[in-house]
This record gives sequence, C-alpha cells and structure tokens, in this order.
Amino acid sequence: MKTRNLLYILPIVALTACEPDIDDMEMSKGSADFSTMVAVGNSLTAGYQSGALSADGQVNSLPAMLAAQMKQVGGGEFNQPLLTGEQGSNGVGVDAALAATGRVETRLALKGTADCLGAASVGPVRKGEPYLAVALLQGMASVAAQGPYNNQGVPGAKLTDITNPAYANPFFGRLKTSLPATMLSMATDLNATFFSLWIGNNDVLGYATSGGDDGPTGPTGLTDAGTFKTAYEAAVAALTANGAKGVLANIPDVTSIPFFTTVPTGTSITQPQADTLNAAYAPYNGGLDALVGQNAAFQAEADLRKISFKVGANTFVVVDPALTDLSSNGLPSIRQIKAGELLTLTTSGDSIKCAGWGTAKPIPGNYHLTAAEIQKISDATTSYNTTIKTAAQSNGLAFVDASSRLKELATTGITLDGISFSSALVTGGAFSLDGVHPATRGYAIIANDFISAINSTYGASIPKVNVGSYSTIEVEQ
Amino acid sequence: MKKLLLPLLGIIPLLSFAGGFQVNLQGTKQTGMGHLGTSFHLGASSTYFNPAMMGLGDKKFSVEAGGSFISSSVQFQNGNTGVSERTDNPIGTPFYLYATYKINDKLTAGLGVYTPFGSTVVWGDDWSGKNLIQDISLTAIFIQPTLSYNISDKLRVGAGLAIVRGSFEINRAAPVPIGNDAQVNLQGDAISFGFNAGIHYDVNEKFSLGLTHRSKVDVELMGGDATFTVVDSALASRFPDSKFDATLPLPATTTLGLAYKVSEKLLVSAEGSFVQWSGYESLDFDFEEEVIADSKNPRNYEDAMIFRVGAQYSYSEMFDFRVGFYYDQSPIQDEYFNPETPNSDNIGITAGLSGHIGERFGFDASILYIIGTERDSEYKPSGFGGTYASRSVITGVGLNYSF
Repeated sequence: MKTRNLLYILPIVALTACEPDIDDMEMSKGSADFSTMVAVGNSLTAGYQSGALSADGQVNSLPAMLAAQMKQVGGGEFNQPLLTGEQGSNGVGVDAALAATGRVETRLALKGTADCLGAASVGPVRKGEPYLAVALLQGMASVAAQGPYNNQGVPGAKLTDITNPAYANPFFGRLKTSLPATMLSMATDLNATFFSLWIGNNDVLGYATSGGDDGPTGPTGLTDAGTFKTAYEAAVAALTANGAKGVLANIPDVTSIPFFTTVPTGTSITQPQADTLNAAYAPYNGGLDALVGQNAAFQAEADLRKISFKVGANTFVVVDPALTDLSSNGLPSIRQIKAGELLTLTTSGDSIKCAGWGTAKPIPGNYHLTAAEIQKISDATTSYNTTIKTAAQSNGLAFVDASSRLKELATTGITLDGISFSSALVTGGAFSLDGVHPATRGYAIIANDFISAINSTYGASIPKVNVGSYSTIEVEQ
Repeated sequence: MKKLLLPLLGIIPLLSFAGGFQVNLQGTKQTGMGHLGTSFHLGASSTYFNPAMMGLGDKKFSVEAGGSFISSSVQFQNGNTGVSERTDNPIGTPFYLYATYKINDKLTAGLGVYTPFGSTVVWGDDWSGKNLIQDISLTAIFIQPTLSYNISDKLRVGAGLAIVRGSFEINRAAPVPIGNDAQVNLQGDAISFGFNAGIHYDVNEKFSLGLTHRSKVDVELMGGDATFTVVDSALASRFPDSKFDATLPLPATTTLGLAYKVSEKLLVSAEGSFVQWSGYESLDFDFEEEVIADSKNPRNYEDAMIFRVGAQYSYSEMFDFRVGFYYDQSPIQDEYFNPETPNSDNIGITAGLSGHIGERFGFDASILYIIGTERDSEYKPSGFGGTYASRSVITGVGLNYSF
C-alpha cells in the first residue's frame, strides 16, 4: 500500500519539482488614466542636476521615470524637449552670478584635483568651456515645432512664472509655441488625463542661495504667501479643469539640502593662532567697548559683534549687513557665526583654507544665512506647503511629502537595496554636485515616492523603479 | 584520514535547504523517512543520528557512505519593481561517511564525517540584491570520533567530539556614491570544536525513545581575506585589500524521538528538534584596515522547531521502503530575511528504499522534495524585500557494508 502511494507521488514530484512559481505582481492604473501625462514645474521637473540641464539629466528626469512606469499600466508616450549637441552633452546651467558676466556655465563633473594646500582630492569641475550668453541664446533655437511636450519643466521657474507669457527664460523660450502661450497654457493644451505639479521651490530658493541678502522685495526675494496661495489654487484649477487626476509635491526645507550643510561654519585653531587673531580684532572689540561707554543701550549689539578666538573649535567671522552701520566709526559690520546659522556651498573652500576667510578675513554676507533669514525661509516654506497640501486634499489629488523625505535624508539617511543615501554632498549619493538638485538616484527615490502617493490615492498598482539600476555621479578619469 | 580529507572537503559545494543554513541529509535511509533516526537503529549512521545506538545491531564492524544531489531554485519577486529573479545554484553534493566497531559488548567506537551545515546560493552578479549578496558558498565539515556505552540491555549512551572545518566565500557588490560599483570578495576558514551526545532507551519490545544534543559550534574566522575590485582609480585608496575577522555560529540542536514497531514489518517514528538559532544575532566583519568601515549585519534569528514523521516497511528479505514528511520552521524574522540564506518554512516530502545483497552488503536510495513556502519578507537593515519561494529536489544514494 505504501509502495503504491510512492508510485503516485514520484511522477508528481518530477513534474512540478524544480521551479518555484510566484504569481506576477498585479499591475493596475486604479481609478486614474495615464494615457496622456503632463509634468509642470521647475528644474526638478526638467531634469536639472549638477548645475545644468543636460540630455542625460532630461532622459533621467523625474517625470520621465514616472512615465516609464506608468507605461506598464497603460501610460502613453512622454515627449521631452531634449537638448542636443554640445548643449546636450555638456549641459546648460543658469547661474545668476555668471549670467551677469555674460557667460553661461556647463554642468559639473567630478575629477581628481588638488586643493590650495596641494592635498589630492576629488572635486567638481565644469564640463568643457562655458558658453557666451548671447551665442548660447542664439544657439537655443526653438524646438516648439517638435512639440507638444509632456515635460513642461522650466529650470528657474517660480510659481508665478508659469502663467507669465513674457517670462524671460531661455529654457521657456525654446518651448514657447506662440504668444500668449505660457507654461501652464501649453500644459493644458495637451488635454492631459494626468498631471504632476511640483513648483514653489524657486519661490524660496533664490532668496536662500544668495545668502538671503537681496531682501524680500528684490528679484530673488521670497514670494508672498497670499500671492502663492492664489496662484497655486489657480494652477491646480486649470490643470484639473478637464477632470484630469494628478499628483502634487510640497517643497523641501531648503536648509536641509547640502548647498547649506556642506561648508562648516567654523574651524579648529591652535593657541598661537588664537592669540594672533585676538590681537588683530582687539581694535574692533575696543571700538565697540568705546561705543558702549557712550551709549549703554549698545551693550547688547556689542556683545553680539565682539570677536573672540580660543584654542580648539571656533565659528567663522562673517559680514552681517543687518548689523548697525558703524562705518563712520571705522568699524565694519562683522561678527562670529551663531549656532544654527549656515554657509552656502558657494563659499570658497580654498579661500577658507588659504586666504584666511572666516578667521583673518570676514566671509562676505552673501554666503551666510542668518538665523532671521533661515526663519523667513522656514515660515515661507511652511505656508507654501500648507497651500499645497490643502490643494491636494480639496481636489482629491495625490500628495508627495518631499519635505519629509529630504528631512529623512538629512537626518537618519535611508538605505535601499543595500545602498545608503544621505544628504551629504558627493558621499551621500542622493544629491548632484550643485548641492541643490538630486542626482539621478535621488530623482529615482523621489519618483518612487510619487508612485507610492499615486498608488495609494487612486488605488493603482504602478511598479516602482529600481533605484540602484541608475548610474551614480560620474568620475572623470 | 583527516589529513587526506580536509583539503578535499573544502571544495565541495553544499546547499542550504533547511531552516537557516542547516543541511539535514546525514543518512540516505533516514532521509527516505523524513530524516528520522534518533530513536531507532539504522546502521553506522547512528554515529550522527544518535551516538548512543552505535552498539546496536549484531555486526562487529559497519561502514556506511553516501551522498546527495541537490537541485534547488529560489525565486525572488522584488517588492518595489515586481521583477522576478531566480538563483542559478550549482548542484549541491553533501556527503557522509560513518564507521563503527564493537570493541566489546558494552563499548563501541565510531567515526563520522558529515556536512550538517552549508549553503551555496548564486543570485548572479547583476541582480537587484547584488549589494547584499551575489553568491555565497558556506561549508562546514564535521569529523566526529565517537564512543557509545551500553549501560543495560535497555539503556545506552554515546558521545563524540566534533572537529569542524568551517569555510565560506561571499561575493557582493560594494555600492559607492560616485563612479562604478566596487566588488568585494570575502573568504576565510577556521577549525572549531563541538560535541554530539545521545541517550537511547527501549521502553519495551515495541517502543523506544532517543534524545540527542548537538552542541553549538562557533566558527571563528580569524584573518580572512577581503579583496576589493575597484573600477575608478580615484576610489582605490578607500578600498585596500584587508584581513578580517568574523564569527559564524552553528546552532545547537536538541532532538527527541520516539519509534514504535507496529508489526514485524512496519515501524513508525516521530521526532521534534529544537534548533537554537537565536545565537545567530549578527554576522559582523571586522576589517583590519581602518579605512574600511566594519560591516555589521544583524540576523536576529529565532529558535526554531522541526517536526518529522515517517515510516519504514520491510517488504521482503531484500527490500525496505520508506516514506516521511517534515515541517521545518524558518528561524528568520520577517524584517531580517536576507537573500543570503533565503529560507522560509519548509515542507519536506520523502521516500526511499534499501536493498540488501547477501548478509553484508546493502544499498540505499532516497528522494526528497522540499517546498519552500512563499514568503513576503524584507531585510530591513538594507531596505531590500519582496516575495521569496523555493523548491528543491534531492536524490540520495548510499552504500553500506558490515560483518
């Protein structure tokens, strides 16, 4: 009897044996329709990274990643205005400081280099030669005829720029079909079934990256919270007017990005170095004391301004234009950096190491974010994010909390498929070399957050991207 | 014999198919009936299954040898991307060799060479979990000189010293934030010691009990070799080749078995094993070169049980037939499930037969089919997870000779 059972079992074993067979993962578009997707936004939507927009960055842009995954649940083609030739390979950057000199930069890449002390390191270098601004603009011929484009991401765009037909921006200029076209009108002309809107970053970023010194009314100032709310609600209303579904993303706290967290705000020195510096600043401190003698009410500001170095860790000396102007007394507006304040990535490391920046010489104020400036940025970001979240909720749209994701990268870091990511520049793997924009793998992490939000809001099952399959930042040999 | 075997043994690939990286294939007869053998005598292989029983049987000298061919496949479906990937494991060939010699009525000496732990899993160089593991080859060869003593006609005890040669090799990608992935190869070996002790009691003519304990063995690899392959010269200084230390604990196993002779021809048996996997808390690589960060890999295994039932039917003077079934619980928690040892709860279905040629010679054959149940798990420390399932088909052959 046992033997007969055995004879039945053996062939079954032989047939079903050798391979496990897990059912395929279910894929579905849920209640959404991805047949035509349009992405509206700024550099983060365009695919900007390492200080420029390049063809490689565009191919690996956040909405292009999303569209590729949506294709598996019925999504359509995703047409992007790819840069070509030298612009495509070397990229085109929009650096305000360089633009003022009539030049436009290429993208950053990593290369073996040596610092001012001769120590070998790997550092960012620009690809190829910078463009002359005039020649570049002539070279950025209109590609509107090859449109319409599903990617309406324009590097540098603030929220109010998306409805401005006169918006002066070469990246917008090459896409613009005809007056009075705007970024938003070109997007709605597509009659898309699904949209992504990630905008508002530049409404705080420009203020922040320029050290906050342009003031809230200047061209790089913060957008007023009420203006932002009105414009954002109008943009969402326009994009949903045809019944389209979509995804909105909020704005990361810009102070959590490596642009503001990479350059240390102080340095360690020896006793003789401290003695020399204290002697050098003694006349300044003495001048402050003299003023307190004349006016006791000046004591508080004098305490803030007085400069003192000791053996070990010290914070750098910076110019702070918000201090009382004492130039008539021969006293500069300088002080030491306080806890919680930040220096921008553009602060020259070589100047700190070899030219006495922060110690013998104050660091210029446009590289420094004061606590008050950080608070302004934080308040503006919080208010924009409230607008964005409310818009998502009231319109039943998917919502991506990019701010929390960036905060997580800046604090605990995240590990995916055995790869550790943090917001550290270069070694963190998530940010590109400009310290503001994600690297390709960073965009992939955020793309998966978009997919999670879309899946949960619309009951869809869009597979996520394999973050580790995207390349890291290239090292030039 | 040890000298001869040691270099040879290191190159034989084994394959994990039991809970963790335990390999339960230490006797073809026993394998045919659910790998049972703690409470009844099946020849020289008692040296492993319950050393107390070595003196049973009417032969003065017994030798038994055999091996298995493991064909296995693990499937992984990535929880993020939905993409399925499969292992491409080589055929595993664990083996055993036992010899017993009755010194007198009371005392029997034995020697066992067997491979109760091992794993060869090949996922490939470019699969989605390459930063955790590309391939692993883990072997532990036990050499066990043993003595048994008959206290009475009904009660007997036995114990052996286990001399263990453990070795392993791991390949995995070393992700870097810039440039191309580096590659790391880790290998090392060590000699360690443990023991295997048992007690066996005949309650009556029909009913017998066995209890064994196989001790924990810590394979302490000192001075293993870590070799890095770096594509970008700018990164080379960060990955110097280095020595490393690591400890791999092989868990203690306690087994209680009972056997019942239903008739002259039919024997049934059941066993429960308690495997103390909880000792496997972390696999840490401590690198000698300071520039390489020490690698801490939490495992946090939990103690696990294996339940087995089986039967043997003596069909004729010439043939015995066997069937068995077991349920082997995974020691791995859901958030620590690593593709390095992708073992879910296993269900084993077995069948086997033995042939006797004359008084002295016999041969055995077994087949074991293992269903590694589908399991949705993640290795949280690396953020890597999905659905795993496995299947294995293991054929075993053995020969025995006694006089």
